[in-house]
Amino acid sequence: MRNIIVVCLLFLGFSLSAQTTSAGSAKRILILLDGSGSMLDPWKGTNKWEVAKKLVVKTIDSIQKEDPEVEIGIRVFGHQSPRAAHDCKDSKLEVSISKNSGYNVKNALNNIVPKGYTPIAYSLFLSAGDFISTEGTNSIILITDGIENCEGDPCASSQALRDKKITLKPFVIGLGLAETDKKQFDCIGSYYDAGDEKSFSNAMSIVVSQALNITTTQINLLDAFGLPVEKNIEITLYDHATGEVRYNYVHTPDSRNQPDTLFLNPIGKYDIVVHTFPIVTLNDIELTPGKHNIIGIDVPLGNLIISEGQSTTFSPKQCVVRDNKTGEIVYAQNFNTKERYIAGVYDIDILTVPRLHYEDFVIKGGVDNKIDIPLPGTLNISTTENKVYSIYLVKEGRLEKVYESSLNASNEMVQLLPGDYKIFSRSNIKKYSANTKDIAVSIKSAKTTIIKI
Amino acid sequence: MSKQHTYRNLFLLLVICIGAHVNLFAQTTQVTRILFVVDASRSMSQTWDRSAKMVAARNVVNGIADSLNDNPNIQMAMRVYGHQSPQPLNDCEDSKLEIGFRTKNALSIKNRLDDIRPNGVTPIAYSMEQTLTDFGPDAKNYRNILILVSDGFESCGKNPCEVVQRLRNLGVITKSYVIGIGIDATEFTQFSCMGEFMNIESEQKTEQVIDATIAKIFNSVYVKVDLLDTYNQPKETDVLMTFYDATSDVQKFNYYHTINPKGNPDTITLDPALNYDMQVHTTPELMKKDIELTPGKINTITQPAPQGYLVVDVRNEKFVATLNCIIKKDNKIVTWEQTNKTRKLLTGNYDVEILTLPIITVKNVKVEQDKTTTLEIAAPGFATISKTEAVSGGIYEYRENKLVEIYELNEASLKETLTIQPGKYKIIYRYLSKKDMDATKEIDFEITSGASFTIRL
Repeated sequence: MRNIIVVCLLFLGFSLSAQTTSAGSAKRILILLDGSGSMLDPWKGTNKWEVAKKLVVKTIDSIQKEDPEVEIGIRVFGHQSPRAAHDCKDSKLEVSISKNSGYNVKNALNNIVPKGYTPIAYSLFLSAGDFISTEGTNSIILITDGIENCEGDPCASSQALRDKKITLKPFVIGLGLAETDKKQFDCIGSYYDAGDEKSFSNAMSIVVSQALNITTTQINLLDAFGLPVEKNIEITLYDHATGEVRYNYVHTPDSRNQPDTLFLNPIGKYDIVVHTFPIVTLNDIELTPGKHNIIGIDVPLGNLIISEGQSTTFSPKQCVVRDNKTGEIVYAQNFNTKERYIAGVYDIDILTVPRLHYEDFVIKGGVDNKIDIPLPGTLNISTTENKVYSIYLVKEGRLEKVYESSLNASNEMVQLLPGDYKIFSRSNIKKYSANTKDIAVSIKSAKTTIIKI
Repeated sequence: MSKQHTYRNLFLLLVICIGAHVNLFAQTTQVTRILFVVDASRSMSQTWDRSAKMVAARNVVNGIADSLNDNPNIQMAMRVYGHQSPQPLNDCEDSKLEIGFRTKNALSIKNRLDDIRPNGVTPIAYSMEQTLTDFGPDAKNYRNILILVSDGFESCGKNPCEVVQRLRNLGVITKSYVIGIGIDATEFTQFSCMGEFMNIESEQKTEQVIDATIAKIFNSVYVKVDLLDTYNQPKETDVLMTFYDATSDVQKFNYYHTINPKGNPDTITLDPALNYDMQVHTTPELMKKDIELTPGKINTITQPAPQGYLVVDVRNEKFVATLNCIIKKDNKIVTWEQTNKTRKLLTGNYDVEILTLPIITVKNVKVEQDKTTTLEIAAPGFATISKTEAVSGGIYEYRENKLVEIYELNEASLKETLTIQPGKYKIIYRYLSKKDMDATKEIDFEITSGASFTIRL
């Protein structure tokens, strides 16, 4: 015996231009009802069709009595052609989405006898056209006792709906369906199980109340110009009270290139962390239930590129980007990569020899900020006898040590930035200060300089 | 008279020897240039003691010039002021380089001085300004000594002290001396600002001033530097020391500090004409400012430089990849080094940032005298992150119950191999093709030392 599953699909569209919570207050529900042959199978002393018919009519009546503004319609599939006809396009909008539609729905359902196939994917595909507007809250409640048997792909249809500028956020209500069959609805909606009339009724009321009182949230990541276009950034929403992670998202605009709509639980407050470098936090955020909530967060990002050109060496080369006030490391970035940082002032240390320091480096928002590092040259030092030596750079008249010989090294290779250096050495055999020798050496990019001291 | 000559000749010999000595130890053979600036204003014709002041000026200049004439590393020149225009004209630009720099030109200087008759005013500041041209654009390649011989102060309203100071700071003039002819004691301070001041109170004193001047210019100054360890013992060594002219900041001498075969800090020789700033190239570098030395004896400079060693050690010996470590002191970077390389540092507390994934920061790492402080970190493991399609996301770890991003995944790469410290991590990611935040996925993984892991996204 097949069980009934109720799948509730909420197709939601929001006003694109007016970013206010009052925009698009219309509420529309399309019930997508299975009219395939199996609906007549015996079910707990009656059959699924009778139970479904009764519950659908009752639900519509109670909704429209409570709120006459809610527009409801019904599409049935698998009810026009017998099974033998293998009609996979058997789907019809029986009552268009409208106010006060309870009576019409009741009449329509009374004239239907389930008989055919289960073309869920095809019906979902047609549903998009049943809504007169993408503004307001558009929901689809799918009630079915079986899985797609027309080789259509409900997941692909959902994607197609999204591509048709309708945002999909599903709930699934399943009635003790086989685990493998439930999986087919993973990509469509949240799942609700109903094994009998009572649990079916419960599932219906839960789904309807959510469809009518849905809380949506949109997180706008604002760029340097205040536009909500920053994307591909991870966001963590913590429970403000317990500090636990409630949601992790990688932010993205939807297919209309608007910030994607989220269905966050409106109960409790949130602390939001945007995982930029450094992080941006917004604490103590409360959502208004039943409304579309817009949260704007300034994350003006700029790119930092440390470019060394064609690197010939294999060692990891890094730069460290620091908060210019605390000195804390914001990120250790590898050479020849591009990373995004919150626009601002940083101290950057580049781990070359000699080390380069950029104090108060400004990363400008919305652009590539590039630091070009010349390719180092190689200094090959060998000593004729046991010696101590060290390498210096002359900076503003002062000698600055950039390298010191390893203990007991007789032959060393040192990677140095191009420039003029001085090497000082002293024999460890003829140990007198007067035997201090110096030699000037010029290092060129990507070239090896051989020095004997 | 003849006794005096014998003494002079002996001294001459000494000067040549010492001069050569200085040059030997100055590492490069540096030429000393001496510019005499001689007062020939009208007051110089006044009779003083037994003859005119101009005679005393001639004697002192000739005396110094004669003594240095045979040294091939000494060039001399002479500028005279106040000799071309009579005093009533008040010619404040009456100053001329009479003899240019050359070796062995004591006779030219003497002959020219014999012909000069005191005449005009005293434009000392203007003359000093002109010496910039006299020493020329390559002034810094020489050891430039200026000797002003004068009987009076500036009469042209300018400030010669300022000019001399400027040329000192520029490193044009290495050292200046002022030889006064019968200057009144109350006026000494006016002259001492232009250089080291000596006064010839009477003709008798001329020889003494000549000898003292030469001694000051050419006597070597011997210096022993004691680099002290924690126990105040002069045992630290084998570090380069740079000596800068404290006035001009010009680099003058570099010596590797050495404990000589006798077990003592080796004595070095410096130019007696200067005060020094000494930089000791430890890590971090040390600077001792404005060291004054006394010629003719061994000066001991004491500088605490206690040192120990620091190494960041990756525990598993099989692991060979190098990681970068930043060594900081008082929130300033001292240096950076790779793991498993021992670094000599001044003793004290350092903060070390080890650029692993995630970054390990160790605060207050103590480096102690002659000891090696070893920071051990666990050997990392390797994570290969292989993506079926391009993703946006990052690697996270929990720190105080908060998710902290330790690595931003490269959107342009489908396979990344990372070196990560042992621990538990989470990747939060989304296929770039999915325009739906609910398509965000999470994957938890654990890394253990030395092992390789593949994480498929």
